[in-house]
Amino acid sequence: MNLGGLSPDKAPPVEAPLTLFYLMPFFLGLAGLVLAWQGDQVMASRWAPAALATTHFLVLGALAPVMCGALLQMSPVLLGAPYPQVRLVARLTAVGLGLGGVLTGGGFLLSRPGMLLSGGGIAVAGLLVFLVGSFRALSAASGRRETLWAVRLAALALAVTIALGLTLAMVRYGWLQLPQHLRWIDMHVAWGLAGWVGLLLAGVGMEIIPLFYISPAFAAGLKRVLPFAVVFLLLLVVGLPGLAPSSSQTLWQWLVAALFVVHLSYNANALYVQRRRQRPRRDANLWLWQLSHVAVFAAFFAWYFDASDSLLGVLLLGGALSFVIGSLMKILPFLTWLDLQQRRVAGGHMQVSLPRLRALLPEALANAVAWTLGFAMAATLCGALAPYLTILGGILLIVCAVLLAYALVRAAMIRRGVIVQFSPLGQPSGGV
Amino acid sequence: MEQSIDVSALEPPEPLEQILDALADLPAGDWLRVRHRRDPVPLYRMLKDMGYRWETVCLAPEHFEILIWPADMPQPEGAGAQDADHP
Repeated sequence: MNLGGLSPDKAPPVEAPLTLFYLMPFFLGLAGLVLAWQGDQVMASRWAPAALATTHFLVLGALAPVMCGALLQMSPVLLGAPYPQVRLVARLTAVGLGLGGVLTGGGFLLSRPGMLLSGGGIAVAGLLVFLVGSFRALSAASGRRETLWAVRLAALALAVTIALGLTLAMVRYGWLQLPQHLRWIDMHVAWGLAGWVGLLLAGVGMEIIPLFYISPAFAAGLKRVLPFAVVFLLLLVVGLPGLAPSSSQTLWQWLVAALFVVHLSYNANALYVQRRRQRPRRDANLWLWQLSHVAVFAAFFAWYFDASDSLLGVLLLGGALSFVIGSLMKILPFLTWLDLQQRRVAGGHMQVSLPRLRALLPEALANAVAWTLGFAMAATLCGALAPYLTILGGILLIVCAVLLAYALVRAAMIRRGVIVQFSPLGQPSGGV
Repeated sequence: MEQSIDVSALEPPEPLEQILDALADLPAGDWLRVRHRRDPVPLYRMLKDMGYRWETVCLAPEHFEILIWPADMPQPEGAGAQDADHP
């Protein structure tokens, strides 16, 4: 089954990924509020409550839901691996991430360990539902070997990130004590960013970038090696204190450098294939993807030249957000149109005309989302020099969240309007 | 009479959108020849539901030609030979 490399006929009901996508603007807005309110603290230290709150609002509420939703959609289409009970998995994951994300971020912001622990527990429960579904789907999958391993290992990295995060929440609550507590936090960040986020975005990116932009394929060796190299390095990160306790700081630096090199090789290859694309038109999606690749390079230089952790965090999280929001700009009209088209043909409603793909997400709206996110990142980065600019970064992030929410609601309303026309009584049918 | 479209430079799912649009505008008695860079398998289920028949020929890597005609019409004459001769 192949439509430009995709198999849309195996796609799950569109409501499953959309349930998760709707969380993103809310949490993007929350993160923007914290930045606008306490941006100076966010940029002053990664340990500031506001910095921890912003980070967890973004990773639990903005990045994770869209990544999970996209995987629910893409796993059957790209890998021939449908999730069992996909609607239930989507709903429980959305509830876990939504409630858990608010409580975890709020727990950090208000310095309430009980809130943090309960939020962490709820988010973990939601993610465990997703992981169980992923395990069942991916263990039976047989399509696209390299992508499959990237997704499988990203799911493994998510499981390790969750375990480390829950352990750290218990430490914060006083239930556990760990030697080298800060190193455990670094492990949590490394498995989350280089493993879960980095592997999934790279694995999926190596499939969808050539597909959407009609570009050359990524280097075959990179596709084969990248997932295993990242996990091998992350395993060394965990084993580091035991392997070489006396020189662990030096080894840690080398491991971080190696992780950067592996991910930079993907991002360099991505920029190269995008430059050689056959579709010359630049759209919001391409801008955002390229911003994400450049952000990873900038993060490497920031790390190399010993810039602040907050700066590094803005670049890495901003880069991940750019790629994920860019992908959403492609997925949203695609899924909406395909769902309507399949309903129209299956129901014999050929007299009902469908909205054009570009009408489902107007180019001007997609561009506005891209530009506000780009400027929000730039203003927040400049906040390292002039703290008042972080406030501007927060406001721009809120604007971006509002625009994204409008794009999602607008597409949903258009879809609902067309489905009403399909129904003989003029009423929306089930699953609208 | 033959109508033709080239969707090989479009991103998914625009090829599907353009092909269905072209079929909606197809005059009675005409058929459609599509140039595509992939074998658009999901299209076929829709074509079947919509009452069309089709024939697909792979002329080269990333060069497929799909001939589509209404099921109540005989297959356009010489279509297969015409496909094979295309560069």
